[in-house]
Amino acid sequence: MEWEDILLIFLGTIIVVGYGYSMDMPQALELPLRGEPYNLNSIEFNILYFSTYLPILITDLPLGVILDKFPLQKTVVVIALSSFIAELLTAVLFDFRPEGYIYIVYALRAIVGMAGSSAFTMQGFIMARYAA
Amino acid sequence: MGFGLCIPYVFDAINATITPIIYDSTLSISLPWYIASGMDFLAVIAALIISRIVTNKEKRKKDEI
Repeated sequence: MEWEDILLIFLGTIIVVGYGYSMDMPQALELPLRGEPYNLNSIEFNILYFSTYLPILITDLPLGVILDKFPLQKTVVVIALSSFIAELLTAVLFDFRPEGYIYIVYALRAIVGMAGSSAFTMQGFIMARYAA
Repeated sequence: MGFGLCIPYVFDAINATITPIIYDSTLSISLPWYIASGMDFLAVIAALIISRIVTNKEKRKKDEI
């Protein structure tokens, strides 16, 4: 195994670390999210998870087509970038709390979920095809 | 492969420990999300390097043919 393959395995791990870190973020912040000034009720709070995990059901099918049609070099950057932007916007929305912000947060969590699931698939693809 | 699948869950566990500590010391909900976006920024850098390595590998493969 060459050093480049080992580096690819390491980097392939790094692309899913952000998703791994943030997927259970609502659980770690449950008490403050349910208190002032956010006041999320049980349903609103659990939709944070629902919106993250439901889109994963449909993500991997189109991803297979995307991997066939577009070069991996571009796809992996677009997926990582979309997850980063979605997380950053979530942080900004929790900072400023404009009216109806929670619905945008749900949409952003859906993007994080889809990008994270795609990153897992990409990781397997990268390791199997280029680092094996 | 196992390494790549396990490490994200280690970071999930780290998040479950660190995030409440960060919230308790700063009382800011957005700071943990900014830290998560920092993690995702690392993923962007990793993706750029992956992209570069894969391009080089493909090029070398073509040259060999």
